[in-house]
Amino acid sequence: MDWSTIIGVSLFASGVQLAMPTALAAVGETVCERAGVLNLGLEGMMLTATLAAFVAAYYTHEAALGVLAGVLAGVAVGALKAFLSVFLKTDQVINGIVIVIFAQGVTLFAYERLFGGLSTQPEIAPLHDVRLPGLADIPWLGPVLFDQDALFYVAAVVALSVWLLLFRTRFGLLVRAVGEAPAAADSAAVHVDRVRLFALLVCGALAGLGGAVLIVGDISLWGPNVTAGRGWVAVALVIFGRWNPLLVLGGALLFGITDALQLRIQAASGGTTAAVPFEVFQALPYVLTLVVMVAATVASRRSAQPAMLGIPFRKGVSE
Amino acid sequence: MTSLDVGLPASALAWHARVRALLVTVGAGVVALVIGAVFVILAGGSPARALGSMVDGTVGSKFAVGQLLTQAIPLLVIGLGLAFAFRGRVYNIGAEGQLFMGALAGGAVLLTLDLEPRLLLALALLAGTAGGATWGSLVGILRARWGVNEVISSLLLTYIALFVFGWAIRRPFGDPSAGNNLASRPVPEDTLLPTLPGYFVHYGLFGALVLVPIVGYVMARTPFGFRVRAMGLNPQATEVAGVRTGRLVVWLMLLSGGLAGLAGIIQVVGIEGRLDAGISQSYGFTAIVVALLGRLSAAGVLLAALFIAFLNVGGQAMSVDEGLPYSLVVAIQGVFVLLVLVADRFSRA
Amino acid sequence: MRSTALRVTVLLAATLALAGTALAGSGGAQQAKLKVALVLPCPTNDGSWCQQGYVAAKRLQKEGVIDLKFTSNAPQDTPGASQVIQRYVAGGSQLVLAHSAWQDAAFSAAKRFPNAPIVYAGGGKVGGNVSTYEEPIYQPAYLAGMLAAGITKTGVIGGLAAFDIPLCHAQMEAFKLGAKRVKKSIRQITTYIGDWNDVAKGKSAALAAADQGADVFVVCGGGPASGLISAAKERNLSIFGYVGNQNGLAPKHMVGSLVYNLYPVFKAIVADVQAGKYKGKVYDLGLRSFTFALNPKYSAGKIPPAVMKQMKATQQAILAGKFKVPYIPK
Repeated sequence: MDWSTIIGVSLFASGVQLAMPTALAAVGETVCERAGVLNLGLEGMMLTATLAAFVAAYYTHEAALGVLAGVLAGVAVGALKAFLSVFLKTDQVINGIVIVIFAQGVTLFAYERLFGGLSTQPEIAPLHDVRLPGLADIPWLGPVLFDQDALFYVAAVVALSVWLLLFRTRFGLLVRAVGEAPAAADSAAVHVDRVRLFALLVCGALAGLGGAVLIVGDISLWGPNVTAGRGWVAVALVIFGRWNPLLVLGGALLFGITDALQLRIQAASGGTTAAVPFEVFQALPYVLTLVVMVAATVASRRSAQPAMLGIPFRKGVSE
Repeated sequence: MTSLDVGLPASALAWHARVRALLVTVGAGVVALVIGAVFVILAGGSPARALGSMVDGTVGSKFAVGQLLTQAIPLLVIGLGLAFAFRGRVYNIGAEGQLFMGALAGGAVLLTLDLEPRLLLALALLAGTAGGATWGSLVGILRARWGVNEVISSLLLTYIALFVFGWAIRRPFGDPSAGNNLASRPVPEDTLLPTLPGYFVHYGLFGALVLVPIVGYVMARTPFGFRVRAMGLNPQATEVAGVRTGRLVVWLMLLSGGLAGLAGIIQVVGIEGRLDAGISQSYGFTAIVVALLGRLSAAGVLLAALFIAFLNVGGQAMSVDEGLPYSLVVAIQGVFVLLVLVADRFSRA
Repeated sequence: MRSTALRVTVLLAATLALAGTALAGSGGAQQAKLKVALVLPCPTNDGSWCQQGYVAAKRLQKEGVIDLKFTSNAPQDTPGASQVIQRYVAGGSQLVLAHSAWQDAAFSAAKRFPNAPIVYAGGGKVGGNVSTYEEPIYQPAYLAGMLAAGITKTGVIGGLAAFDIPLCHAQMEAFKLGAKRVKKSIRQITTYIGDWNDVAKGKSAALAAADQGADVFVVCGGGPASGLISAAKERNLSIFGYVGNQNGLAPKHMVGSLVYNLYPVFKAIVADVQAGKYKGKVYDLGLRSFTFALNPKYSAGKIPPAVMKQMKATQQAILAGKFKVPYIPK
């Protein structure tokens, strides 16, 4: 096996591309979980956003409008989640799972309705790569960091901004407060439900952006269940990253690069003729994530989970 | 990790609260029907006929009832285990993986051992339960020993289970004559469960129904059930009171994983007659909804499983009769479940 | 004015009525339309698997041969799919085309309706009134492999597949054998994705193989196919379309498509049922159902005329039954 063709610049480039949608969604999920809302509907948010982004980009021929539509769709699902979890205070595990089921049904139905008459599969023009001249020519590092889709830069900036938002702003303080001690926050005149609503809208926007990146920044077309479980992996990565956006981003990159790596090893080892079954390769990202998470949990004694995660806030009711 | 509203016993509700509950439920039903009707009209169908199909397809004949029950069985069996685990705040969301591992373990027994059919079947059911329990216990041990969050570990283990299952039905147990239906060789014909004449529902139904009072009794009436509830309400206090909560977590994972595994092997000997991906359409995930909608009680899980099966089976009938895409039916189901959730919330507020 | 309009309307109506009767008359001379139900696991416009089934059935409907009912995005689990099939039979459908690998569901439905013609896709066991139709994609894949050998500049070709099922496996092997027939030294990189829908992963897998030198690809699976198309445009790869005629999706890069033409398959099944000779059997029309559609606009690499000639000769030989493409399902 020729390892130089497996581990190279393009491994990281394609790993990053595979990781980005998941990373954005996971960073978004970090915000709402920090605020105490468990959002298992992430996959549904992403999926809805992929279709919205595709439809908008298809009809307007503007990739940027596709991204905008994806974000708005994510925000809309975030609002639905907030309505169910924060205002109606229904069970967050159920409403999350149901949002996923609902989104799977609605997107398939809408796609069939909108594009049913076409004889070929509709597609959109891909977003053009942004090359930062000079920087992109740096050997190895250049192509990985500076020769990506424009959305890659957006994603990196977003993760950093969310970290700043959570740990360096008043809003971030409020978010963490309502996630850790809503009753105390409430007695300090904080509108707990309002903060949670905003956190969910931010989460929706980022999950929507993740969905849009997948479509507009990568594959340029839409298919049933195109997110293929990325939202679920993103939920797992939040716990993996111990509710810290930068660690979460790191976890997503680890997952994405492992996935890119396994495809390369598989290709180099010759597919089914190889002694090792290809399922082993496919399971690799999941196994690695699990192992790293167990190791990280064993290494750190303190739990990082927001104390009131998943528990609706009711004034005057102590949990 | 989530809100566990066990709720007040019905007797504690004043009459006006009951009236209110009734009104909210009826109101939610009406809203659900209106939204469903709008969806059906959008797709060019007739709401009245669609509703008729749903009813006819689920209770309109012996066969329809059989279909309803057949699809409720796995949801019920898995849902019971999950309800128990959730009572102790052990959030096993990996029942789907445990189901496939159970089917695989039980299937391995059926495909490799050569025994008297009844003994073989009994052994397979045991192995299926053990397979799911083992897969679940990994999650329990990780949490009890090192505090690893069970939501993520059970979810990741589900993906891994699917890859293991996929490999097993392709390589060691693969059936070349299955064509492009990736499937194992058929299990011995004489180990398949009989079906109830006229209803076309397999005898796994009775097993599932027997489990309802048993699980209900253990949850509500035994010291074990009591400790689980105590741990769910206040783990620290329970620990202080001398209960080894770590052990309890592992037990709950063995139990919920075991029931998911049992559901998996029941699908194999009740319906498929071999191992393939068709044994589940995300039953392990849907059962989470069933457990929570059923308010974590055994009887509630039974009702919730029937309700979800009604939506599934009725939706299939509606999709056929009205020529509606099944995706639309799935969306309408989502609306129905959400409204039940809302009604449930308000009827108790 | 009004009366003129009225008269014209009446005249038109009369003409239409006459024409209608005439048409109905000619139809009446033929057999009664067969009530057919089509069950699809995906949307009717997926540009691939379901669309091909849908288009073929619609064509039979337009020709007045059948009365069509269909369900798209049907449930995939055995009890669910089986119920859909049974509901159609109970509702009067005289033939159910279950267009997916629904072997278990078909046989489970047949337990209750042993006399109903039920046909599922993908090959495998048949019996009673349950039939199946093969997907001989390996046959056009062999022809594609021959062209790939002529096109590749690196001597490395690629195969992407969702799962290692016989359909995909035989296709990958035939592609390799076709290429090796033209040029012995060809090497093939085969990657399995593990998902029918994951477009992004398919693309990433294609790029990974491209990094290792592969420049001509064949693909198995709708999601991976979409990913491959996207990768081809990015890296200027030559590729072959999957199941649908995908030539228009990447005119410069698609050498041709392996098109699953279900029309003759469905037509044969319907004819058997109408003639009363239907029984459980395997329908396999070979290269007549899984055809090879060249793309006239292809321009990414050159096909040497000699290779094209050799391929066309082989195509004729297969159709004439003089050459059999090796079928290697595992």
